[in-house]
Amino acid sequence: MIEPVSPEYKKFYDIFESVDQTKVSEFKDFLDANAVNFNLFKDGSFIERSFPFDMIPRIIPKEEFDHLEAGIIQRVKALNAFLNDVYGEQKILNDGIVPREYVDSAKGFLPEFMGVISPKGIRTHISGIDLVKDAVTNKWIILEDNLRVPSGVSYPLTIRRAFRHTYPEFFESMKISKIKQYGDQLKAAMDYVNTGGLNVVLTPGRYNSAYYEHSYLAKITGATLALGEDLIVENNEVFLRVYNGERRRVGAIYRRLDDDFLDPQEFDAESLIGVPHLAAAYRAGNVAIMNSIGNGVADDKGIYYFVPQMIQYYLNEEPLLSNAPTYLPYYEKDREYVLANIDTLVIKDVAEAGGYGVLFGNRLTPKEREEIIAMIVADPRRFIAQEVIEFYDLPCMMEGEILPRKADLRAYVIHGEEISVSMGGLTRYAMEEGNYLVNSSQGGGFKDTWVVEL
Amino acid sequence: MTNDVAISLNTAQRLYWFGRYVQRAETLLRELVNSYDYVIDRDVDDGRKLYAKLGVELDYSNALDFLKQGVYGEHSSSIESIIRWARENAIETRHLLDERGFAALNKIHNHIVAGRDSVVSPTSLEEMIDDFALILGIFSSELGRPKAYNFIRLGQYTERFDLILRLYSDLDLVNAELEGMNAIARRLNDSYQPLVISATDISEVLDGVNGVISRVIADKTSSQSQSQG
Repeated sequence: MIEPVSPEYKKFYDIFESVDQTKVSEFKDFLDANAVNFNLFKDGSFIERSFPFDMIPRIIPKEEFDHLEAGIIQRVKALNAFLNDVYGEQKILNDGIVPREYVDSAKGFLPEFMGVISPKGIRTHISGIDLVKDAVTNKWIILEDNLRVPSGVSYPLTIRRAFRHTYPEFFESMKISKIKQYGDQLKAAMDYVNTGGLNVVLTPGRYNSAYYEHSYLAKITGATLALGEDLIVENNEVFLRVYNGERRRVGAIYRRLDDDFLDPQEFDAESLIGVPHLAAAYRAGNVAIMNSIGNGVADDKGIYYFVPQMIQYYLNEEPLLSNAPTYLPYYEKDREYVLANIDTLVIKDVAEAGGYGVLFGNRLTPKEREEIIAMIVADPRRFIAQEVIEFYDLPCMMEGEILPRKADLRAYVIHGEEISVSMGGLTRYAMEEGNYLVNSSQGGGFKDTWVVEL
Repeated sequence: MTNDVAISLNTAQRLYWFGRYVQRAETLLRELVNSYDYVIDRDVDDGRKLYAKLGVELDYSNALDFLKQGVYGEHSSSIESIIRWARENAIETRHLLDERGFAALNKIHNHIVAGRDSVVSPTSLEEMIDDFALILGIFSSELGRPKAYNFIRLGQYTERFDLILRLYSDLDLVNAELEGMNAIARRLNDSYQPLVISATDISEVLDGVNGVISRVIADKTSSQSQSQG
């Protein structure tokens, strides 16, 4: 079901009908010429692939976005408080709001970092909050919080510029919120938590799927783009190995690699892309790691269930945005419900991401159904179940036709001295009709997101 | 106002090699087009002699095939492989490069890849030479990040001297332009010791020219580093 046409959308279509639609091809030319890639590994091969783009934006009325923004800021505040608490006094566990065993068994929880204080008390520097708009209730619903290494922000930022060049008509006639300040906001957040020294974007390298983004973010913030081997830790301080043999102190690292690969001394000893002893420098408070080490506990799919309670617990507020109705097989009552209604639910493996480990109950063969039931019974903590959200399709231009495709929204939040939500975001759509998996790593495309005021 | 960022060892090497490959592509394209006329008019083996100076045994059946082999042949001096390496180094340093320059190079790369099964015409190569001149012009107008640009310039100088020596053995020309290279190297590293050419043996001079980068950066293996290309 396509979202009803708002007055803001109507304005877009009025202009759309009057512009030269053959210029749409310029977007693909632009993305190809600039190698705006989201690369894929398929069957063991590296494939350079420009990220498919659809020119019809998602349009969100400003008033609606204001509500979203408030709800997202509230959520990120609570998640940051949760992380500080979980790695500190653990009040929320002691008070029984979140079951201790849920945290202790979360893959992303790193008890060896208990007591470590992140500079300025910020752990969720850059968040990507995934939402969909429920076609039944017409309300936005949070699907997922990404608090480790959320990617994608560079694509709407890049395409917005191309859009303004190709079709200035929209920007002349519509009041579309600007997003270009993202770079300044990110730089300000880096500066705010910086412990003295350079700002660095740490990349796993050119063969990472989001390498384009790493490079882009370094460019717009003026940070140094570094590989793990470019950094060295001495006496618990991090330094950049400058080309002439000098070393320059590093105060903030926006890392674009997971905890597992960050420091071979601390995590995966086989990691060739990390920085030995970086975790020790972080522990000593000598460098800000953005996002902080151990954030995975807060965006665990099982912990997601408890975010509304966190908002009430830490902020003493009612959540402004809802979760998708979620069941934890860990609780006996929920488990019974899940097993009885598995055909109507979505089952998610909490350890997976990027659209992997997601099973739709109504598509399971009897054998698969039997297997997943056995797995849930054997290891209930490993799964969550959710009601299928019938979220809106968005209109997409495909081979000259406008067709409906499922689409979500990733909102980007920067937590520096203030918390700010980028006035747009990345709208991802599925390539195939009826597909609910819109993830880039599943081959989906993207749209720009316009926050429009009439 | 400049916005110079701290440049890591890896990035410095990539910028340098980017400069080298862009210069190599532009120079060899010119040489190819010049030699194409010689192959037609004067000496059918002229193309073979040109590539022999680069250590490549090139085989071709006629002038157009000579261009095809020069661009797509299975050897390290093919235009396709040089452009591929230029692009690889550009991708790794694009945060310091002018966007239009990067896009221009990427377009050439995409064009070359797409044309693999087509005939190579001298006109298309001349257009590519113009595109490379444009790229080099764009980078020279980049004022915000002088250190990055100086690494590219150092790579260009090194490659230019390398090819002058290999193709023409012209020591005088290298000597005449040497101060330009030394000046850039000094800007990159205060303790750089200028290169002085006193030898007459070409291979010795080649070693000296190719060794300048290792006087500028801390990694002594950089001048031989094939990981960059």
